[in-house]
Amino acid sequence: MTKTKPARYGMAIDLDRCTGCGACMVACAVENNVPPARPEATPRTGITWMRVYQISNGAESPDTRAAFIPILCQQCGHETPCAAVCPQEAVEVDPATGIVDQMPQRCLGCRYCMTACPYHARYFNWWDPRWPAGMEKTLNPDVATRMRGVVEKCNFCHGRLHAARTRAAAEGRSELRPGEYVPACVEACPARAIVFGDLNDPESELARLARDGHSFRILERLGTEPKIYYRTERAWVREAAHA
Amino acid sequence: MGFTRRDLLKFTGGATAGLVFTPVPWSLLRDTALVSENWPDVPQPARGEIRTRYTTCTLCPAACGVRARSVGDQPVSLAGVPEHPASRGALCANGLLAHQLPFCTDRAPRPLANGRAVSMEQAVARIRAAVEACGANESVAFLDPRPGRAASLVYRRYLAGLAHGVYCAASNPFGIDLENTRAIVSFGVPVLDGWLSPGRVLAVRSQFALIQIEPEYSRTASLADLWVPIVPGGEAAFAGAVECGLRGEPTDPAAERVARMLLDHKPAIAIGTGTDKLNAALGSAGRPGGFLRRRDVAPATEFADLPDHSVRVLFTEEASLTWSLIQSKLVARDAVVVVLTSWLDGYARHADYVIPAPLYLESLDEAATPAGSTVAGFSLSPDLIAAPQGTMAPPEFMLRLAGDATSYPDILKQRVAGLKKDGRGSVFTYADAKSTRVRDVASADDLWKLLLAGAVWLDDPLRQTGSITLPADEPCAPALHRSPLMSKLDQESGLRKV
Repeated sequence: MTKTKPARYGMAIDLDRCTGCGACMVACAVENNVPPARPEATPRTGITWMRVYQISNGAESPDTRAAFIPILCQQCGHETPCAAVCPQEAVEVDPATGIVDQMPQRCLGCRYCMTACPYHARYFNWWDPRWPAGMEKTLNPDVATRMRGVVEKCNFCHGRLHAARTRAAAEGRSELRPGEYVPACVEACPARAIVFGDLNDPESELARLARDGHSFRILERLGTEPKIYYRTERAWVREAAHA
Repeated sequence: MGFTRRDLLKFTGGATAGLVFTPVPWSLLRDTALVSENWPDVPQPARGEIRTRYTTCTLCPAACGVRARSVGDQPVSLAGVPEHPASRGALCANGLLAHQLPFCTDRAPRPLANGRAVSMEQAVARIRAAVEACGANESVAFLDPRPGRAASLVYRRYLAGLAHGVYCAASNPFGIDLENTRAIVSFGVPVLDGWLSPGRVLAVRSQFALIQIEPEYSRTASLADLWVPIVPGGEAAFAGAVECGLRGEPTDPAAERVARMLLDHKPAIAIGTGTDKLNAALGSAGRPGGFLRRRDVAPATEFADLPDHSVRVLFTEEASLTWSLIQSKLVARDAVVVVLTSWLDGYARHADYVIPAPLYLESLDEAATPAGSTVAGFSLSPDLIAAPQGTMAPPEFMLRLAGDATSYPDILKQRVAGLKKDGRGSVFTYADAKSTRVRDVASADDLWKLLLAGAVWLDDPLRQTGSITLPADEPCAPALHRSPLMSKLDQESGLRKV
């Protein structure tokens, strides 16, 4: 069997391009069978694997300006906080991809991981998954729905990774071509603000953006080595993201 | 030595305590999770052959190319068509969720007459009688929100057969050469939030300076290079002040700043209500980076230009005009409003007759020239899913009302045959991202098949000659209906306040 070179998948999000349209959020929900909100759901109890936050420069009108910051699981590569605290080993960092996987079947719903996550990128299923009558027909067949009482989060559209690997295997390849596998949010972004790729590939667009002087990672000082890079040329956005 | 009751209790207690330190209880918990995950009431994704089909979005006039991933016949996700000449591979949030719209609860399920269910035959007979009762000084009007379609031709034909038929539409025969524009001054137009195709606008966003003149701190205002808050209704006055600034005359400091930006970033355009004079001052008509004329011009009457209280019977699809304007044009007594719509809200709340229409993806339809395109366009939006019983496409209904036996697909085919006969332009096919000249397509039938499988016809650019007058108002699209999953944006995240 051919040994596959380990990848380290990550993203670079250009905050100067993001317009906060929300296409990434809804594409993520469609791809991963995240149900619509219950009437009683709030930003605290709803599920959005990718959530776009609006921040302001705090200036008075008319100089006030906004920026939009999409926050998703940052796929921490070092001392992954959620994996470290999970009593069930329901969180695992895949050495072949660097993706922090969440296994709902193992999850007890203790929510230690939610407490440990510095990015608030994990969501608890407070309710059974429900769609309006008939809408179950539109569910993605590659992703199982999650039950009430478990935690879930972004996994870089694992179903797409499996599909890409299956296609590659059918063609006799052990490695994926660049761009062969991209998460739904990357594909959906109309501003092309999100670049996805392998950080281990120094020639990739992602690796180039990660090295860019205007790129940074949120809460980098925690040393968790997130694999989501953000880029902006606006100093106030960078400062807000570090706060 | 026997096995005593005490031994049994100690063994049981020890075993229970020991069990906690084994994987057994955790495995059991996991297994119960697996069981609960497959309970009968837990939704399970459908299984079936996975196919990719193509269509063109008709939710708004942007006419974005769409790639639909389907399980069997049911689309399970929609995405943009990479390299699509108009939409550049992008869809908006509404477009991404369009396949879920059939499951919204406020759909119009059957024909309604004054709120009561009637059969389609009854509706046709009653509306026909109302049209025949139209007096000498009264008119029958059709308010078409998207002129230039084959459906528009059906409406025109119907009205031409009446003594007092008036076809109303806000026609804008101009495209915007966005790719060469260096500044946009927008008077309340949501440039970064639903204007034209998002893919096209955002692809060139870094190339133009955006000045947003708007009372409200909208998303576009928050992302603009310059936001000028004005008092509501002050657009025309501010546009006039900017005009003064362009001529170098003393004016309001904010307007002077805008004028300076426009002079520094040429070519520039102004969009929004009452910008015709400002555009004339900017010289933005008929030149690169400005407004360009295209071929799909069809004469129409502006609805606002109709005499007050003159319309006896009004037909309309969902449009963006205020109901008070519409009401001012209706005769004072016994006016009949027929709304051809998929939804029970909007104009349907005021209608005497609601004719339920299939949604996008449910019926074969046409997407006309993409909004803002500098060349005329045409694409088909095939029926990827079955329409519910009792619905009827608006042009089909109007054909039936006219007693015309032609079917709407036949009219679409005639239009495609016309494109082939003219031989102008090229066809961009979605599946392989290839452009083919129309004259190289073997026959009208082949062109029809290409368009039905997912393609857009784009005309050759029109030579810009002579002076042109821009319309005073930008036509805008009616509000879109929302998938239940849009809760991610406004309820579960608060990204959009509704």
